[in-house]
Amino acid sequence: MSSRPSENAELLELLRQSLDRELSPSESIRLAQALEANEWLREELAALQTLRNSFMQLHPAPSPAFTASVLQRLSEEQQLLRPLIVRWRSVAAAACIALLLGLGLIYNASGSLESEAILGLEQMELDDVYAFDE
Amino acid sequence: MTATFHDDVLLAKARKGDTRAFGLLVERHEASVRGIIGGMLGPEEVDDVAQEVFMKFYRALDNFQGDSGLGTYLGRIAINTALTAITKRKKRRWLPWSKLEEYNAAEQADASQSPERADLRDTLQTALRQLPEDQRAVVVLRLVEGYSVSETAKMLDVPMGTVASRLSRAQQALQQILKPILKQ
Repeated sequence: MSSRPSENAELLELLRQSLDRELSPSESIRLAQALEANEWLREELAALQTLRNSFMQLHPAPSPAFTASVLQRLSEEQQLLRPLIVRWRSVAAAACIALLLGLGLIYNASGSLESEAILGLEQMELDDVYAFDE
Repeated sequence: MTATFHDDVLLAKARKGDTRAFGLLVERHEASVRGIIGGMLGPEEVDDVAQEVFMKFYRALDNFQGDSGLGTYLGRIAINTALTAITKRKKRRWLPWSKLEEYNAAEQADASQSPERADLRDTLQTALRQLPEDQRAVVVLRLVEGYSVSETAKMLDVPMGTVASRLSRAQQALQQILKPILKQ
């Protein structure tokens, strides 16, 4: 190792970064020259490459059983949700029918579907208004 | 012939409720997702958490806009899910004594595995766990799963320079931790 520790640390950092980012032309030249001149830096490069390659071993092998288990879980979730969706649809359909029936009754009674007819204001007498006023 | 279908075609079919197409997407990306989860959390919870990633993906199939590759999108979900699991794990440590004892026992068993006895995979996994989460994430995405710096940056939502500097620090730490093994 050279006698300038801070320069060595800089070169080491440059070496590490060179594996993951594009160096500037001046950085590339500096690193290339340093690699040519320093045995320890070449050893560091080899060690780094060994380290990086060894981590590739952690990538798992494909597992068909895993895919099956995801699909199983999906099917279970869908089975759980389907009755809720069906029930919700029935409730919504019943509400729509009730609304249509109500509107039909109002139309039958007052011959109109204007807001006054729906609120029942058309059938109010003058006395009712006084009664409210009191 | 389905093996030649592009992700987009399978995605379109999955959106229409075709679970077989979704299954093919899972099959195509499961190793990568399990690799990310395994690297971040260790092997114990891999399948459960990876399943959760694909369930999240299925529930929000329409959210994928195709701005990045599907692998990158799933990688982002995987990393975020793993980070959430790590946070939950940390919180759990403050919960009941009985649970705490179980976790401590598991940790002790893990620490007692000597490098001589454990195989290289276990040793690497143990070394990974000693890194802070931000550094662990870049190591897992870049070195374990082989994503490019730009893809890694997209998944972690950080600039590419940050990925390079986190990797540099992580490698420095890993070299120290693994020095005895790498010299063999």
